[in-house]
Amino acid sequence: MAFRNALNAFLFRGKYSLWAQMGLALLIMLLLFIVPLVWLFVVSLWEYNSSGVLAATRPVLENYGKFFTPFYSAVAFRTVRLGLLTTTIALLLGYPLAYILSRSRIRYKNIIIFILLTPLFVSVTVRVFGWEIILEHSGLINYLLTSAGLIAEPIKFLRTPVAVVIGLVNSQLTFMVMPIFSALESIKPSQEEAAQTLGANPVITWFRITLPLSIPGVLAGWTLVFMMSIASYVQPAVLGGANYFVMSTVLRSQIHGTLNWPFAAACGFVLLAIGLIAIYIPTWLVRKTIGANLERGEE
Amino acid sequence: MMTKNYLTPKERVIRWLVYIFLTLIIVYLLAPNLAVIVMSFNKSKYLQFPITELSLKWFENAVTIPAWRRAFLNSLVLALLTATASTVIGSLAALGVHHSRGKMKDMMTSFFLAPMAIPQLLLGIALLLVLGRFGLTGSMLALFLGHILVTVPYVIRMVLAGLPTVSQNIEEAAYTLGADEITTLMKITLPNIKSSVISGALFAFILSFDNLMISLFLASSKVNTIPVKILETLEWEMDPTVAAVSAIFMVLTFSIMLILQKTVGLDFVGISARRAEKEQ
Repeated sequence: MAFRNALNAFLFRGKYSLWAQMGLALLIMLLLFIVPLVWLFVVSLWEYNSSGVLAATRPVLENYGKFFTPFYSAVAFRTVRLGLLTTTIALLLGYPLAYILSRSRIRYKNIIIFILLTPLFVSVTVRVFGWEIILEHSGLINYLLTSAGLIAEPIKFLRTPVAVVIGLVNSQLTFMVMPIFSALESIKPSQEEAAQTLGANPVITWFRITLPLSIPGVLAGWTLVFMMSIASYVQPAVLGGANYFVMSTVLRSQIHGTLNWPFAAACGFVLLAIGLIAIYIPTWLVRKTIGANLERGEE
Repeated sequence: MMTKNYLTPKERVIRWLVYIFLTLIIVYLLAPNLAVIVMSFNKSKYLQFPITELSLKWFENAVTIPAWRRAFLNSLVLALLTATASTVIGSLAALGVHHSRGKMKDMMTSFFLAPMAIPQLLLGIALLLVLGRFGLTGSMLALFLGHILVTVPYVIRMVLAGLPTVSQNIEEAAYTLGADEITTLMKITLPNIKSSVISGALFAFILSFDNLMISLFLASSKVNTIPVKILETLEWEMDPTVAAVSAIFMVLTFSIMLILQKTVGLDFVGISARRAEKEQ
């Protein structure tokens, strides 16, 4: 009872009670988030010691400079291209899907939403393994295509960039649809009805009202999917094959292979920087072009 | 709302297009899951279609091979510990954030949700760097610490979404009647945000159970989790035991998803999406 009263006083009655409630979470944030990331950044400025021993050196920029060499600039370029391709395809599939789920009165809508959420619940390794089975030389797609007489010889799907994109879009589609869906849901029916009453046909209504108002959702989806795509590891490593190098696979081979910690750390921060730029550009573009409309619409 | 029982030809075409589109999307989303299940019953050691003979031997392998059993046990224990710890830590922190005022509240919210915005790849190596210094790599403790960093923000976000729905009046009524803060929290506040806390806990379980990127760096060949062991097997050889393990693993996560849908609903995912867009 004494302990209970002390706990009660500590957590709720003291001057610092709010800090007491947040204490453990703050400790986690400090020791497992801030300290490791700062430390990692410091290491990214160290010189690589070929013996694999990690030791402080004078600060250098050579780990970041490596991205200006042909091989690693190609890796960075490939990573960005993969991210753009995945995000664009996810948007082209995800927007109509979110629109249908939000606006039409189809049957089995709940089942479709449930299926859409499965990538949140089924581990990425399991799904990538599934794609390996489907895209394999003697796998399902080639079997279906050859037995239908569409192709004579099996096509090489697995260990190609196409396979990586197929696997990535499959994992990321959910994260594109979710924010667009909730942006569409938050548009008041009266806004669309007003346009219709004033004589706009459905296409014009969509262009002038629905699309601008759903842009925040599109931006959120774009941000989320791009960041996760460029940092994805399993799809490039398993579906792309041993010679498909993106930032994440290079990073892991530095850690589990050559023990080049400084360069691995630099890879991580370059990845983060690419992600932040890719978030900033579309946000800025939207502000410039339809920003004024957007703010009016939100009032 | 205008009701009509007939469709114009144009509407009929649109409707068919919508159905075809939805069917293709569903096939695309479910294909990898179904492929794994089909393959787990295949008798041949090679991934080859058409499947001619069925067998349960890969399932037998999955439950008898010690390495897989150990990995499975590790994953389960880790997910249970992570879910429990992060629910307690996250709910308490959400309470603190909820009771903060003004700018402080926004600041603490963004601070606690920050780990969600950083790729797990980066978090994984940063943790390996620091925990490795203390000789913790390849231990359950390291995996646990890595996982709670990922799950706590989600619990905070979900509980934080639930807290404003609790009426201040009933909490004050409890105080007036002589209850102290702990009693009020346990008897009034928590029961009122039950669904947020439960979905937070179960989602934390799933996040930990499925986690690959953090575990990949913090696990070792001795202390392993199922997703890491699946990946390592995929990178080296083609062993159909992976299919059986994956199938079992998938059935487990699917059942948790079903339980969530039947009890508290999957709306919290939508809530998180709405939040994400506000942060822009």
